[in-house]
Amino acid sequence: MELVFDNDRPIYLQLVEYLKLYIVSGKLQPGERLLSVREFALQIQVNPNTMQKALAELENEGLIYTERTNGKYVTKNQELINKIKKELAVEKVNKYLSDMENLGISKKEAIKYLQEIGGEI
Amino acid sequence: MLSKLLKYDLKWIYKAVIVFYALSLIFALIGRGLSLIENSLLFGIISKVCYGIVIAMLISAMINNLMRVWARVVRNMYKDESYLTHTLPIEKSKIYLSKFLAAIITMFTTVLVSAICLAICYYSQENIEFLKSMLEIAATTYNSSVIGLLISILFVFFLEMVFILMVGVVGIIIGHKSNDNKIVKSIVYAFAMYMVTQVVSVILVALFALFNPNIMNLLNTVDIVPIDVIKSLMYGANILYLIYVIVYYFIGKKQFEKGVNVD
Amino acid sequence: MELLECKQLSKMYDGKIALQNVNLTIPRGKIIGLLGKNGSGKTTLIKLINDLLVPSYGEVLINGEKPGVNSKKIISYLPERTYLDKSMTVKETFKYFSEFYDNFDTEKAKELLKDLDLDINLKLSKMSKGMKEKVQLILVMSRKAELYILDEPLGGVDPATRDYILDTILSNFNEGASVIISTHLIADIEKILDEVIFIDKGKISLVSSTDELRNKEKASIDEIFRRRFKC
Repeated sequence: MELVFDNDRPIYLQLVEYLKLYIVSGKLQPGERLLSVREFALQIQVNPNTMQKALAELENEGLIYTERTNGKYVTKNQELINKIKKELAVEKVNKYLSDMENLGISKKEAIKYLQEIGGEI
Repeated sequence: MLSKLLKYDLKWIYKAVIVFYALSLIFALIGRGLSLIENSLLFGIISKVCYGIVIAMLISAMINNLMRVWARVVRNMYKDESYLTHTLPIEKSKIYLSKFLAAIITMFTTVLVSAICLAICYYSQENIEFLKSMLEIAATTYNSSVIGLLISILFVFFLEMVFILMVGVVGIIIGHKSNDNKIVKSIVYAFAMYMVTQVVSVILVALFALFNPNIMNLLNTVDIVPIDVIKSLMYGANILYLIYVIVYYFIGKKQFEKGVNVD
Repeated sequence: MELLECKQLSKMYDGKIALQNVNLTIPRGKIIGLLGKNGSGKTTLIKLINDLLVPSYGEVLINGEKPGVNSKKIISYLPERTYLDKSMTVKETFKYFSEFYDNFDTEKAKELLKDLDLDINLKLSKMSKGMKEKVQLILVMSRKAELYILDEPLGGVDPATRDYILDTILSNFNEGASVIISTHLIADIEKILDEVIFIDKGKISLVSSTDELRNKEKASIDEIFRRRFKC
C-alpha cells in the first residue's frame, strides 16, 4: 500500500482521507480489526506518529473504535459509513459541477454529459 | 571493554609487523642451518646473506612497529574511524590506555623476536667468550652475568623504544588539538619533547656523576669500565626511561581526556 | 527528563563561529528534520552531540548528562563518512558492533543485509561507496537506541536508494525513540517528519511541527525553506 502524499498539506489529513476511502469502499470492512499503529504505519510507509494522529481523528468521527485490550476496529455502524460515503459523494459531485461551471457548462448540460458518458459505461 | 579494544588495536598493528617477524625467524634459521654445514664456501656465503636479510627484516619490523602504532593512533582517534571510536560507549581513558598497552606489547614482542633471531644467528661459545673478553670479565665472572647484562641492555633498548613511541603518541594528541597542519605539528611536538627529555637525561647523568665517582670516571676516561658500573648505569637508565614513559603516559592521558575535535 | 537539550551551545574554529548560542530541546518519540544548507552548522551540532567536538561555550545534555559513556549507549549515530575499518568484512563489522554495543541486534542486521543481496564475507574495501553507506545504515538501525542521529543519509543517492534508506529508517527505528535526520534535500524526506529545525549560518532560525507549519504557510516545508533562505 504505497500512498502518494502532497507535501503542502498536513500528511495526517491526507491519511484520514485515504482511510475514509478505504472504509466507505469496503477495502476495510466494518468490524475489521486494524493492525497496530506501528505496523499499520510501516505498511503504508508513514511516520507512526502521523498514523496515530490520523487514527485519532477517525476515532473522533466515530469511524473506528478502540477495544481496550484488543486494539482498534472499523466501526460496525453501517449508517455512519453510509453517511460519510454520501458526504464524500456530495463533495465529488460538487467539485464536478464547479469544474464544469468553470468550463462555462451549465448544470443541466453537465448532467447530460454524465448521462451520455456514464450511461455508455 | 578494554580487552576488546586492545584486541582490535593489536590485530591492526601486528597485521603488518608479524610478516617481518616470520621472515626474520625463517632467514635466521636458514642462515644458522647453512652455517653448520662445514667446509662449504657457497653455503657459508649464503648463510651470511641470510644474516644480512635477518638484520634488514628486524629493522623493518621495528620501523613498522613504530609507524603502525602511530598510524593507529592517528587513524583510530582522529581520522574517519574516530567517528566510531569516540561514539563507542567507552571512557576516553580506556581508549587511550588500549593504545598505550598495544604500544608496549608490540614493542616487547619486536625486541623479543629481535633477541631470539640474533641469538639464533650468533649464539656460540666463542661469541660469548668474545663478549666476555670485551667486557674484561672473562676470568672473573661466569656466563650468566653476561647474559644478564645483555638482557639488561635489551630492556633499556625496549624502554627507550617505548619512550620514543610515547613521545610520538603524546605529540599526536597535542598536535591534533589545533585546527590545521595537525600532522606537521604532531611531529614538531614529538621531536621537541624528545629533545627536551634527552637534555634532561644528560643533566641528570651529570648531576648523578657529581655524587658518584664511578660514573664520573666513566665520563672522564677511556679506560676499561668495570662491569659493576655498567650494570648500575643500566639500572639507572632503566629507571629513568620507566619514569619518562610513565610521565608521558599521564601527560597524554590528561590531554586526551579533555576531549577531541575531529575534522 | 528531556532526551536531548542544548543550552547556549556555541562552537568556534580559529575565531570563526560555526555554531552560535543554540538552545534546543529534542523530545522523545519524534522524527525530526535538521534542515540547513551545506555549511550551515548541521554537522557541527551533530558532532557536538556525539562528543566529537568540545563546545566553546554552553553544553549538551543527553538524559540530563553531558556526552559520555551513558549517552553513547543510547545514541546511534550515522556520520556522513565511512567510519569503519575498511579491511573488515561485513561479518566482522557486525561482530564489532555486537561486542561494543549491548543493544546491537545481530539477527536484525543479518535480516536487513539479506535485502541488499550482499555477501557477508565481503571486505568493505571491495565495496562501492553507496554499498558501504548502506552497510553503515544497517549497523546503525540495528541498534535499539533511544536517539538515532543520521547525518545527510540521502546525500547524492539515486531515487531507488533514497526509498530504500527512508524505508529502512522508518521500519527499524526503536519504538519510542527519536530520530534526527540532517539534510538539505528536504522534499525527499519531509513527509515522514514530525518536526523541523531550520538552521542557517550557525543559528537555529525556526523550530516547528511540520503540520502546523504547512497549515500556517499553506506550502510544503521545502518551499517554506526555499523562501526563507532564497536558495
